[in-house]
Amino acid sequence: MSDWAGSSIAGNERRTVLVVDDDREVREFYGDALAERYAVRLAADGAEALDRLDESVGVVLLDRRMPGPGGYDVVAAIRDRDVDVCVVLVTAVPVDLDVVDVECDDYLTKPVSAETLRDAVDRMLDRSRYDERFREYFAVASKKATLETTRDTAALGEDDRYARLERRFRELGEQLDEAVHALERRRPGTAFRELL
Amino acid sequence: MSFENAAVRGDLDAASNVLVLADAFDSGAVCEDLLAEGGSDRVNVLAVVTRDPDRHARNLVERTGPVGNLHYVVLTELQQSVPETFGEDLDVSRATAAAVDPRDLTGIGIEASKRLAEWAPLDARTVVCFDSLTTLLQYVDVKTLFRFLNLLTQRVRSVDARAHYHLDPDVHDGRTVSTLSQLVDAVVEIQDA
Repeated sequence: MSDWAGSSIAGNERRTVLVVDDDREVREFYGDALAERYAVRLAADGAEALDRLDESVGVVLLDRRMPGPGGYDVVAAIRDRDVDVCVVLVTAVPVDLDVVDVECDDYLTKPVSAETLRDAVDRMLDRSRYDERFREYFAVASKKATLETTRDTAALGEDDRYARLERRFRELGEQLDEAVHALERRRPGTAFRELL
Repeated sequence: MSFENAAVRGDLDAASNVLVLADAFDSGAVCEDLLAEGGSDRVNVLAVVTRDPDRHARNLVERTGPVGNLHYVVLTELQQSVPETFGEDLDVSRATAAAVDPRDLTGIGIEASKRLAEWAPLDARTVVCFDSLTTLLQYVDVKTLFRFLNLLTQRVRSVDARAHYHLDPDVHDGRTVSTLSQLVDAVVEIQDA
């Protein structure tokens, strides 16, 4: 299980993983490996994947080579929809230079074990939760900065709304710190590698 | 701790992360005082710089006295070679350096994090000089730098180190300075004499 599980940043919602592979055996193996931890949807090709993609999906595991639209085309179609989802490409061959232009979040090379698959999904969801918290953290910091550069400091100190902003900033900061600490416990530098 | 011609916001003595607002010319004395805060004990120094580490190290030892471990992360876009070890004639336990492209925040963070973790169990305190955030803002936007700094300040706190970060307030708007200030415990602003 993810190092963040149980921490204040770990979401308790059951996130959905969309598995896309034209090989039925592979698809079902991935589905079984993930079903204990996540809600799983299966799709046999790109068109079906796009049909089954909605806001509840947190991670898409996508086969790079499929009949019809290939993995790269499906990634582009997902990004066009502007949904907040992580995409992990699963490839049977080493990635080529085309990959430079593909907006995916990670790669796995087949054969993929159940443990590797679960680790990859955990990592993506951890990152996604961190991103969500960080967006709010930065927004609160920007608001505070704007107020502090345009309003009188003494007046701000007496304002309940500003006090609420400060509290929220501290809460989010503690949650993000906890997440960073959990990643760095694995190996120094991991937080920078996975969160920047 | 106090400085001449400087306004201090926050509890500087208890601070883990300090922002130094000054141009490069004026920030030297504050930087040296913050690096030497271990008093007579040798501190371990991690310095992120854009300058020649050997010259920086000589200046540091001359101004602050003997240093324990000294590691430089040299920000350079050029593939110039940075000597892995140097300063054999200096009163430093071990001096090392690594070059990192200033656009590579991940690389800078990994390099810093590894060193902080390695020195955390040692008796001597670790002090960090990051010179400068202004340099990084030539390459990345404030949101990206804020994200990086959020990670780095957490690492510094977690190992009970003390870091200061240089920022030239004349180069950035007030909102940028104030946004980055949110991540530190104290701000030292050098005022014109």
